[in-house]
Amino acid sequence: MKNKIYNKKTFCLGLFFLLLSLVSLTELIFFFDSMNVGKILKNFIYLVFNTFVGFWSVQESLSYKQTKRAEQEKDEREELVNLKSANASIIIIQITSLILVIVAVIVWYLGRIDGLIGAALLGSAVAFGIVFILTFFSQLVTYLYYYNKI
Amino acid sequence: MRNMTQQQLADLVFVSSRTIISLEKENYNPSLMLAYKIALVFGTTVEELYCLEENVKNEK
Repeated sequence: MKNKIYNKKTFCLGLFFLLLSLVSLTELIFFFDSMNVGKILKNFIYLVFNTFVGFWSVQESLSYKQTKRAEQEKDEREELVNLKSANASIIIIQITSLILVIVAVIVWYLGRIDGLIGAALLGSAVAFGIVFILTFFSQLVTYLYYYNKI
Repeated sequence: MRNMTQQQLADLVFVSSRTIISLEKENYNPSLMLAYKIALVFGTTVEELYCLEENVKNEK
């Protein structure tokens, strides 16, 4: 029986997950004796998860009805939700990084912390500052881009 | 108005049933194209479907 692939992207994703499950299975078979309980459990969870997602994705990509349903779910409201959530997450990252910069600087300044901990505090303040500046400017640049494009 | 489920309407205008629920709850404003499609399904106009005249009067 010849099956038609209706969604190549989902099909490739499914194959990728099935390949990952094959890696976990191979590792479980050939290195079972040298593994501790934690690693066996981790590999087993990976195996079950990857097999499930892989089969589900491949099966969905081969079914016309399921592919159409998935396309129907990605409608204009879904796009709006994605846009809003992406924007909100950027704002949350921005505010959090700004707060962390201020907290790190205040703790460093008021605590008069020197040495390694002081350097770590200043380093983290600089790192969060970079994150803040990056998100701020990327938002500005993308805004200008879409303002001129649309 | 026709008797149909949210899923049936969603299938006819090719959106998710969640979108139809949001439209009914007035949590989401549809695009012009979606509004036209829904109006077409119910055999009416966009103006009538969204009570545009009434809404414009209320805005004033």
